[in-house]
Amino acid sequence: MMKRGSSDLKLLVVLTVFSAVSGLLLALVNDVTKDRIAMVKVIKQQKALLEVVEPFDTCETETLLNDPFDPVETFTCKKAGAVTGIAVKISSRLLSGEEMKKLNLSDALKQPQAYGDPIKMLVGFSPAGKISGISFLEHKETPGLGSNIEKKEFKANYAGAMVEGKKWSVKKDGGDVEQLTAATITSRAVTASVVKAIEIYKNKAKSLNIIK
Amino acid sequence: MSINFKNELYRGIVTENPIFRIVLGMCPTLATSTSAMNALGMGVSVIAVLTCSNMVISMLRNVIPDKVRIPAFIVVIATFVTVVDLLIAAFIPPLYEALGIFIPLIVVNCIILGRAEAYAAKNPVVPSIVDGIVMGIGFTLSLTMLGAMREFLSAGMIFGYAVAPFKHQFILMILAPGAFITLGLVLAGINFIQNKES
Repeated sequence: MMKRGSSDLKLLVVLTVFSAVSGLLLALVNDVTKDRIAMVKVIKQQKALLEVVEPFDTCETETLLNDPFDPVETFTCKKAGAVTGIAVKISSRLLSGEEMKKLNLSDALKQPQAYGDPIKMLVGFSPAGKISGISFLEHKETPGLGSNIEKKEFKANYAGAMVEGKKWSVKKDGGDVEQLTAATITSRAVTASVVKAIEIYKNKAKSLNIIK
Repeated sequence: MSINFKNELYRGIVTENPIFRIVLGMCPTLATSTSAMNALGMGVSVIAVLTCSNMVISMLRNVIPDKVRIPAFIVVIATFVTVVDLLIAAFIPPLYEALGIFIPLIVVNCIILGRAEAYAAKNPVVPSIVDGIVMGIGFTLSLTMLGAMREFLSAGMIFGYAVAPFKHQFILMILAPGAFITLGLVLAGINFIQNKES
């Protein structure tokens, strides 16, 4: 049984000690795990890269936005000197906090944000302008609803489609993308991110003289 | 002291079932019972965290003054869940892929705090661990049952396998109202059976 009638000083000491030990423990575990967690993410990204672009020997990475949370990067993958595909790493948080502040409320609400944290994804393009694949690196969408973005049927909205061949918005908004049942917000966030990725791909491909 | 695990298990699954009898932890119950697989994932995560948090709280029960026990429990549980989250992410990535989305939900699961308060704070370490295991099993079984029912009613599938003789889609059951309707009907059924018995 717990002791009753402790003095206030004791309460203070106990809670302080608890919080201090907890903070120390968290710092310690964070220190031990952070390198490995970063490594796991890199491996996951490598696997995703193999999934979304045609086979390659090497990939050149270019960082377009060096945000510590949502970096935007392009990967130009080559085999024997020829470009086999370009992948764009992007997250559904398209605007920074500062940019959001400049918008009025109704426009801010229209911005494609995921339901949980920003959805991070890798979108692959073939040199001919086809989306060769899409892979989700990180997301915190609701299990069973928004998390269905991982399903093949939803990815098929994007993978295999020509960049110019579709109206890139969800059907509810008059586009060609079949939104997920009960997860329209998530579907919108992914679609808007793909639109942004297409833009980045086009710029990159133009600079490499692959497309005009 | 000896513990009769069978009796304890009966207590966790039937007489003190966390979802259907104590009716605690409704937020994750309603949110993760969209399919049998999700429910099972959440359940397994809860068994692990509940067992360990019960153990730690029980070990500290003589150190924590009565007046500040709730904040102390919350610090212990939140720390514990975060540590587990980081360790799984770093060392068992496949498990993290499968269960990662449920772990932050566990912090807000009242069952963990409920068992700390009602059991672990008053009992020695070993019985507290057993309590964590049996309560976790009770939670997992009930949640998986709800998940299977909702998955079946909404899409005619259980654990992703089509079991219904015809194909249908009833979206309401996978949305929030479906969670309340299913839980309400099951609770009503259990109360009906119990009233009949007594």
